[in-house]
Amino acid sequence: MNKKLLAAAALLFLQVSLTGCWDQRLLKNGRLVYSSSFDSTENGNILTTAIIRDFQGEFPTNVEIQGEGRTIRETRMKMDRKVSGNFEPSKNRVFLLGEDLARKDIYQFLDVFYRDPASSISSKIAIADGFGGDILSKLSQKNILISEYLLEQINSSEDSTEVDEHNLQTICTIMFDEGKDFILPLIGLENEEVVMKGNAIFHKHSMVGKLTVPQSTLYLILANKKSKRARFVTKIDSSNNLPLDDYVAYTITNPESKMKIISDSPQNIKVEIRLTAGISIGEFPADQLAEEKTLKKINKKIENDLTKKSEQLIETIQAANADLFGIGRELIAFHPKTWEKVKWEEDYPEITIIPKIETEIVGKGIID
Amino acid sequence: MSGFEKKNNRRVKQLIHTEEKPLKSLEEKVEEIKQGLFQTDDFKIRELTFNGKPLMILFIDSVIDNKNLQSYIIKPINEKSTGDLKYIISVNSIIETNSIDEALNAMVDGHCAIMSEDETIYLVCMPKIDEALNEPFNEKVIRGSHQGFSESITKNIHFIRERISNPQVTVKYATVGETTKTKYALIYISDLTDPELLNMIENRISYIKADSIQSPGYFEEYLEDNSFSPFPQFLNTERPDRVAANLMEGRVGLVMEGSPTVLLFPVTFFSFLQTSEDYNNRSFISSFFRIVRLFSFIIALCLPAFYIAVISFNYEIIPVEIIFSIKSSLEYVPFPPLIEAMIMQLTLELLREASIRLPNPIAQTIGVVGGLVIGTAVVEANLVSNTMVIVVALTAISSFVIPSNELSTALRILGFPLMLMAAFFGIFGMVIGLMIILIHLIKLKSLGHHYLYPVAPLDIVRLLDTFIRVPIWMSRKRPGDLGVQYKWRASSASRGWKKDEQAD
Amino acid sequence: MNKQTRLTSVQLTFFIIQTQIGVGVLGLPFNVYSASKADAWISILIAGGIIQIIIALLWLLGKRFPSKSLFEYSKLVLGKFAGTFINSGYLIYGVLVSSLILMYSTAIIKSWALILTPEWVIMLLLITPAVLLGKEKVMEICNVYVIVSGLIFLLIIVSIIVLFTYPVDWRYLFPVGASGGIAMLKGAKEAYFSMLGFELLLILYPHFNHNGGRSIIKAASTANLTVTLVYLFLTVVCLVTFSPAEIKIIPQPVLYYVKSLYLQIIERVDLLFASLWIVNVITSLTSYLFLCTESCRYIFERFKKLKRGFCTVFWGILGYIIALLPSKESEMEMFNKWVISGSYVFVLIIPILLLGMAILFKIKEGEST
Repeated sequence: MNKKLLAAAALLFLQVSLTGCWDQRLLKNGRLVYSSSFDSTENGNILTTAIIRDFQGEFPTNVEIQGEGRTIRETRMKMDRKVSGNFEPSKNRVFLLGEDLARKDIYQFLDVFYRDPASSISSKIAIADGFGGDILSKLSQKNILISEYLLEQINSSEDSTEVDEHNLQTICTIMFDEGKDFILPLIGLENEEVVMKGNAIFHKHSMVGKLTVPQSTLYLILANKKSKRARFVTKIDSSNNLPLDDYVAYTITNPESKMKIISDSPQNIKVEIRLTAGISIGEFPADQLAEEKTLKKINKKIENDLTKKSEQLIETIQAANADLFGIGRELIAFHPKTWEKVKWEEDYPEITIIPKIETEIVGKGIID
Repeated sequence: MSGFEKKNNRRVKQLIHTEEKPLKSLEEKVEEIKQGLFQTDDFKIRELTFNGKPLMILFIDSVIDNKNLQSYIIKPINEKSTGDLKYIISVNSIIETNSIDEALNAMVDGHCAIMSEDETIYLVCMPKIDEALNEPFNEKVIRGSHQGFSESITKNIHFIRERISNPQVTVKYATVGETTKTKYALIYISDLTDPELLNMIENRISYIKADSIQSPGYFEEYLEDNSFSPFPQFLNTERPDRVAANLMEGRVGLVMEGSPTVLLFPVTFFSFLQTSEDYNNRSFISSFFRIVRLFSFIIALCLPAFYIAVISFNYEIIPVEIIFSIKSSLEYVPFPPLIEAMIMQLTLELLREASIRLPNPIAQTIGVVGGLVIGTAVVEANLVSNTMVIVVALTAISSFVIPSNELSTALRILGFPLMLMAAFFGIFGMVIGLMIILIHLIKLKSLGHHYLYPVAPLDIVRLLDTFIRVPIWMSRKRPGDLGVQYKWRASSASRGWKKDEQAD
Repeated sequence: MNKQTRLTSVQLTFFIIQTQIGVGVLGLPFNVYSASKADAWISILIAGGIIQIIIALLWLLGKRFPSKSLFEYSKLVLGKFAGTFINSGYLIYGVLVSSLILMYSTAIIKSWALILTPEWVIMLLLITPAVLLGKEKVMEICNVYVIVSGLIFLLIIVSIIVLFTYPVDWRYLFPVGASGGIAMLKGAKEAYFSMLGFELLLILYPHFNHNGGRSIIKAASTANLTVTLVYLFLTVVCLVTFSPAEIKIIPQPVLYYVKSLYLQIIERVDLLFASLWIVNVITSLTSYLFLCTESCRYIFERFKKLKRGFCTVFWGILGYIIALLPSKESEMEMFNKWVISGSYVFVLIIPILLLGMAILFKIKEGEST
């Protein structure tokens, strides 16, 4: 009797140790997805394109699989049926959303990522200019480390203040915030190359417009989100013999931007954005920086140029009805009475936002 | 400063005490010396008659060579039986004194005392036992003493007395084992060691009723608080300097006939992570290695389990840059990670066991065959993955870093249940397993003293001392956990010369 | 005389802290936020203040009977029968709180780490170390608590990292005081549930008596202050990381912000953290099992041979079985409500009753014996 019991216990132990327990998911059996994109098809379904890294002999290769369904979870289930082993999207570090899809309510699509404990909500998210699946296929043919490639591209753009630092979780916070909107990097194909095209503007849960790269940088500086570098080019002259002499390229150093609500009467909300920044000239082929006078002249021109560009930027943003500066949040926090009276959705495009920019040349490289 | 004075006062008192009564009978003097040596059992007396009067030769038999005593002192006295003592004994130095205190100090330093009824005590310097150096196999050091214990109990006590040359070192001989009558000795410093602790040890030993006691291991099992714990509760050592240092902390040593290992008790967990070399190195270096050892303890215990948990439950944790290389090494391995780890760990234990049994030159070959050949072949045959070999090798190396052999084996074995928990329930299981180990460690006592002191109960000052080794002059107090009779260790004025030199 | 065997008041502080901080902290900001919105942090301060007053009351009661446990002087004050009745009440309270902690922590483990593993296995794993530790003496329990308190520092460090890496918005804290006084008090009530555990002072008092009454109140107040500050900090971190509407859908915001953290070496700190936090749950569980064991010891005083360990195992198993009973979330909620309302009786009403009667009839230790 005792021997039988012992044998049974041993068998049970063997069974458990050989097959593992309820929750075991072996890395060996997982088919890791390194990148995926989501697009909307013509009949309103979602098409997921996922890149799985596999072996061919000893060399890693990318395998592309697609699945169509009404929700992301459904497309995952379909893809799981297509691959051997378990479809594992939890190591996915970059998600691409097709533009068509992004113009709908993206939270509805992304819900599965917030709900699943295994999913990585610190992943980057980018918008594809056009069809996301195409970008991934193009990339996967050229590059094996596709996830790393996209990630590096987004990271380097973040460093040069071209895109805002967002991941799945941070945009979720803003999506739920009635007084704030956000931008996401916009990636597109140009001559078979994957390039950063600028940013997609989001209002609430959907994409409403686009910003070019210089516009994005300017916006990020105005919103006090400067990263490591921020470079601009301004045309200061048009009379030079050499066309290159007309331009000055510079980086912005120590920008300080303050948003101030000048008037909080519900009918006439006035907001001033005051930016003071240092300018360090990086490229100026005309070479006349020794004189104080020229410096002042150039500074003035840069100031005017930036102010003009800012006005255009604000116009674009207001036209898209995206509260990128978080003015609504400012009202909620410090002018709650005004906030109660306004209908932000309708009033926001009407409010006055005045950019005031002051610059000072603080550096000019190692030559004059 | 106050401790310093206390220590001095204590000595002064003793001196006055001896000078108060100048005239004492021979018996009184002998009794006083016995008291001065705290009734130690290695104190011997030989009674002779010389010039028609009784003559007593007093000596500590563990510090002097008995053969020399017989041929240079006892034999001439017996042969002549009259005359002047100085001219009969054939030794190089004889000191005449009437201070018992001086006699005590000389006796522990290798002299024998000759007393008759008159006031003078003759202190005769005796040649010491000469001892071949045998380096301890298990506890090698780079710098420091290379002396290891031998297998004779007298010699071993001699080694300790050599290092602590003080009449307070007390030795208590006894035998145990109905048939074997094994001789053992308890050694401690009378003025320092907690008397309660001594009572406790003696009480526990008095309960041993066994037919044979053959090694300190027997003692360990009879005396320890919990025999079913994987953790060693007494410290085994083959190094006299280590024993001396521990006696000076207020611990008690047990020396046994026929064994080169000395048991030390009570000890804490952290005693096993320290080596005697710590105090030979510069404090920065020793502190670094102490932290390395602690780290190695954690690795040896947790690394395989953590790896299994991560690989089979939460591989999201692995950074995306290396997950692919880990996955590629796993691709063709047929076993689940648990079995993989078990295979490798067991192979490692086999190799270890095999290399102990084999004579030294062949043992190295085993290392090469096992480590290199099997390691590579096993990976090439896809039986075990590359990463698992790395993990197991790291675990093994970390466990060998731990100075105590018992503890390092215990750790590797404790790794197995942890691996099981990790394989069944992932990191959650591991945490539960570690929690149970922690609870066990906290419950564990070594002779009624907390095993995990100074972590539990928390003693922050001592804790710092455990993790980093402060310069010796900074640790002025002994740890309080052993209930020592005085805590003074070094005076704050020990580096007073700094002030003198600052003057100019 | 021997330094090692004496309990210090620092250990009392850690005992109370570890009992208070448990499974509740992960969901605390969510619960408080649902009541008092952006003023959740004020609610926590209020709760801390109220608990400080209760602690003072419990201390006054303990001080009247410095070397006696609650279970002894309840009999002194109310007579043998009523006293035993109250003691059994505490026993049942302890078992119920244990099973409540078990239920909630299992629910969190099941949704964050081990999704498919059956409940009974997880609960068994949780209760085993708690029983192992709960049957020990106060000294051993304290020692474990002091060591594992390192995890609270870990939580704070992780939170600080989140504060620096996450684009936090301090404006989410404004406007201050918009939710109104009643909402804030409701929030304080929610916070109070996560702060339960200080009532163990009632049975711990005699164990720490040799330190003197003053040091006991100091230790208990330090514990309360620490817990309040930790909760305050965590709540503020949650409030500034998540936007107001977002917190409403995140029941365990503390774990969730750990999830958003991205470190180079450990990509997903939350998966580690959810499992590590269990240690703090086990400590709370242990404390309540200790409460059961103590009261069991006094109720069945006559059975001298009854081993301490047996009590703990028995009540532990009972708590385990009770925890397995409710299967639906709604049943769990109901059970929660009962236990919470029970806690008012055992934490507030009975001690005040005892104190009042003791003062009224001038019962003090030593006089009535």
